[in-house]
Amino acid sequence: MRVSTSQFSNVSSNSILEQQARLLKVQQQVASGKRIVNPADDPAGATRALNLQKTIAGQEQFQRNMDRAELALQTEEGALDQATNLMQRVRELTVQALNDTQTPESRRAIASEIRQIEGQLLDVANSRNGSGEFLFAGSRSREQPFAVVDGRVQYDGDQSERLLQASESRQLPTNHTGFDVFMRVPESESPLVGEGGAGNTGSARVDGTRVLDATEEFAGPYTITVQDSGNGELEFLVTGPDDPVGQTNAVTADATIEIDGRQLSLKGTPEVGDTFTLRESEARSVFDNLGALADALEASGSDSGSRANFANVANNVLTGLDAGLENFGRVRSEVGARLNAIDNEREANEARVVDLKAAKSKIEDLDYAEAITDLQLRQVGLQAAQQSYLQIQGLSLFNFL
Amino acid sequence: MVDIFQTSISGLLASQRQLATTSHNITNVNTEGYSRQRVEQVARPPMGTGAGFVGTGTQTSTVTRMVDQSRELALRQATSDAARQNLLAEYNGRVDNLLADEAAGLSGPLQDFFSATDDVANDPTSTSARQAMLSAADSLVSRFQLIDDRLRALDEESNAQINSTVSEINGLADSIASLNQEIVLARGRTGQQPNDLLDQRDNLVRELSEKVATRTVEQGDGSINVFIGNGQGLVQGSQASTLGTQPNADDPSRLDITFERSGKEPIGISGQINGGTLGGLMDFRRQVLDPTRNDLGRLAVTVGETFNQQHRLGVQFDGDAAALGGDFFRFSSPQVIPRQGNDGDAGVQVSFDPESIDRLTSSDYRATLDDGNWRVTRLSDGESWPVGDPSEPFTRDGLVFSFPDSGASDGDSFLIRPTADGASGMAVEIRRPGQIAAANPLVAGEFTEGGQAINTGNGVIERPSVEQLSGEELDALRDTGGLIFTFNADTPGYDISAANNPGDVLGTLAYDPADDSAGTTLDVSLDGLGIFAVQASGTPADGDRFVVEVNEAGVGDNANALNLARLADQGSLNGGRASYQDFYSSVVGKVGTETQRAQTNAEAQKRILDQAEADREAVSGVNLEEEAINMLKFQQAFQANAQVITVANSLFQTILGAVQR
Repeated sequence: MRVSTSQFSNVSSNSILEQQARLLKVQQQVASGKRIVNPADDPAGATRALNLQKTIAGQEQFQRNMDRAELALQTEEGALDQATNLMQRVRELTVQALNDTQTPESRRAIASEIRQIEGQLLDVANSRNGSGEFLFAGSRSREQPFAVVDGRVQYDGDQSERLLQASESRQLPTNHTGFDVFMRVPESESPLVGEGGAGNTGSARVDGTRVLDATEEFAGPYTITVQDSGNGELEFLVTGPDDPVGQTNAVTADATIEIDGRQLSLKGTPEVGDTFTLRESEARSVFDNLGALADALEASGSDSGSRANFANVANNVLTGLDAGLENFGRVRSEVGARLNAIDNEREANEARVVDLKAAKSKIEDLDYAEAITDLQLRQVGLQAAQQSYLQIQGLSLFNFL
Repeated sequence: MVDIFQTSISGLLASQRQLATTSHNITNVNTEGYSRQRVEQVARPPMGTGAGFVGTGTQTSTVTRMVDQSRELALRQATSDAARQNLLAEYNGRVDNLLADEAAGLSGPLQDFFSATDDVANDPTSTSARQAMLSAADSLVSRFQLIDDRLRALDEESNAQINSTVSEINGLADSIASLNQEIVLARGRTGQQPNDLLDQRDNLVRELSEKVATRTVEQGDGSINVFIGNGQGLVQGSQASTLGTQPNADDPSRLDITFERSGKEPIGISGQINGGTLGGLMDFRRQVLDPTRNDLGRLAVTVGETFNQQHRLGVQFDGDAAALGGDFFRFSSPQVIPRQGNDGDAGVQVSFDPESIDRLTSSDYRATLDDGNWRVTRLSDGESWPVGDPSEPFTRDGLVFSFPDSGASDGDSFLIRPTADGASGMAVEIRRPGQIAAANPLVAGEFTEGGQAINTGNGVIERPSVEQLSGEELDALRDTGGLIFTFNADTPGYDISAANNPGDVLGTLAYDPADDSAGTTLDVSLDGLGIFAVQASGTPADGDRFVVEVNEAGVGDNANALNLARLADQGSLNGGRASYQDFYSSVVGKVGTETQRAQTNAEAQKRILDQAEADREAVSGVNLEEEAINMLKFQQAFQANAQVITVANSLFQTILGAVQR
């Protein structure tokens, strides 16, 4: 084929430009460490890389959320530890107060320590986290949740727990409300509560309750009154909501009374006019328990009636304290379970982030070995183009004329 | 007798001409579009004698331009195609770079915004977390605007380039027309081809082909007619027509290319332009620029609308009382552009349909009134639907079209661009951190007296989730003093009543602890009190009460912030199949694919163009070696002819000497 002279320079400059463009591309890749410098280099890969980047950012956000949740739960755990210790001290004091060697004076001393502990427990219930939010206020986290109103501790927070996003599909609660921890505490671990009347004069106190037949419906609460049966004997008169039940039992020492398949056992001997109640266990705040205990300690005298009274209250309080401790234990184990869940979720997340980053890197990161080879190849290509031009450019017949 | 002098002089003259042409070739070795020339040499007519014909020397018949018209045409075509692909590769590449740039793309700000939302969920009472979310929202909005601004700048640049290209085309057409005239005159004067003028004209036509695809027809008098588009005669003989630009009748922000005819209205030929940079500009606008801007706008509108919808379902405590969240973002409503020359002054009104916002498309629409019937056409695929009763709003593709009953007249047409302004018109509506509605509007829990627990069962009602709640409904709920859910063991289920009027049972919800105590969702829908659901579990005792009430002070509640943050993972576009990021990635992918295609095509076209140039050069290009040889050849011929004159002279002297003697 015939070739024109200007073709030589055209072809040379074209090929030099082309080699330069390729060299520039490889150089950009090497400098950025990316295989995909522009989406046009690999549109499908670029799309996948963008989506992966978003997922990675999402996972990293989940990690941050969980750090936050972990901190909140650990703070709550600390507060629960304090509350548990305080309650255990109260339990020790109660057992100590129940000892018959105690005098009314020494009980009053115990009462004042219990009052003090009640104040400390209130402080724990009103404790705040690092950013000044009340731990146990539910979502009303900027208002003090517990306050003493008319001598009784009441809860002003709400019952909303805060959730945090731990993964795309999983939300984890990060707190408990004060209502759950301190207020909605069953009075007793058993479903039934027996109580002695406050004005009882006999030595009988409630020893315990039992469910004998759970299939039978309990239609209480029942009041059991000790009355004269008319013949000098004493008897228990049971009255319930479907008054009068009319059930009577002869009074003996250490009597047991059966109603609706439930049993109330007494210890000691009641007097005429003494009353006992058997009812279902209700929710009761831990503060009420402490208050009742302190009240009873302060009111305790040395006669047998008031001893029995005190014993009645103290026994109930003791079961209440145990129920309260149990409740703290439940909350703590939930906190532990949540912390575990966070650990598991975090590990899974971390593994996922590693996978995702590897996938993203595979798509968009440069294979340096390949790129460097490519770079050298392009350099050689460019040099060849330049040299061939210089060589050819010197060839002309006119040089010989 | 043959005159040797005359014969050799003819040789000298021919060699001179050939040398002149050779030197002309050599001097034009680098002239763009130059075709090498060759002197055509023939023997003179011989002189007849009784002893046969004796040659009388030589003569040059003409100077020929070495051109192969088919190669010239192929080069023009290749020039046109390469110019178009180059322009597409360049402009698409700029959009591609813009979207991919980590510092300028949308992915980062989008992720940051939803991370900041999650951080508000983590710490809803923190003013700094809320402030950070507002800043992230500002960054997101300004990124939308930045990208849109740059795309708009590309649009303006392409408009400017259309204008300048059109005037270049007009200049070239003028030059071709006047060359036509000169060529016709020169041919008439000499009867020969004016080679250099023809080269110039071919070169101009090639330059014109770079701007727009052309077709030429040669006339008998040597002039050529040049046609563009669908056969619009740009140059006819010595007459050149003019191209112009004018705003599009449907959309005045668009430039149309017009073909001006003497004594008539200019006609628009935008749709018929192909090839060259002008065709490339048209394609770029149609294939990449407009769709990308619409896509971005659609994303902005969808983010705004879906985020607002969820934000309105939360409460904030910025004012005196808890109030529902307002609009978080502001964004532009669809553009409705009446066609120039519409008779009626009535408009079509178009708004976004919150219910079906996920069905929004990136297309533009046209609404036309024809024979008293409105018709809506989707321009991306030409699908159209008749509007039944124009007094009823017509809902389609996430848009609500309404046709106010006023004097639109037949043939009126409206262009609707739902998302063209979406990205530029976006703004953050909320200004104070406290206005972020992070909290659940409702709060649920056990009914308490004096802050003490009174329920005896272990039933739980918690986590109300609001599906629909207006400001009026919130006030109505507030007026009830809270909804009391009382467990009725006989039903079994919950009776709902207002705390202010406990006797009046507003509704009942079945709940059987035997089946449901592990947890179930109860849907609550009471007249005028919104729609919400609560989670119920456990075994409540008969008469146990729960309360669901307006969240008046739950500043630490993050339920709605969690919902807002979750939007990032939900399908909000393409009929619920694509999240915001999925969609944005697909836009980047689409532009990337178009760019890749344009780049590949541009490279291929470059090869074709190189080949076409080589083909032309093979015939028409000057080769200096060839010219050097020719030069020597003609020089030798010249010298030989001069030698013949010397011989003739000595012959003549010989005769003279013989006679003198």
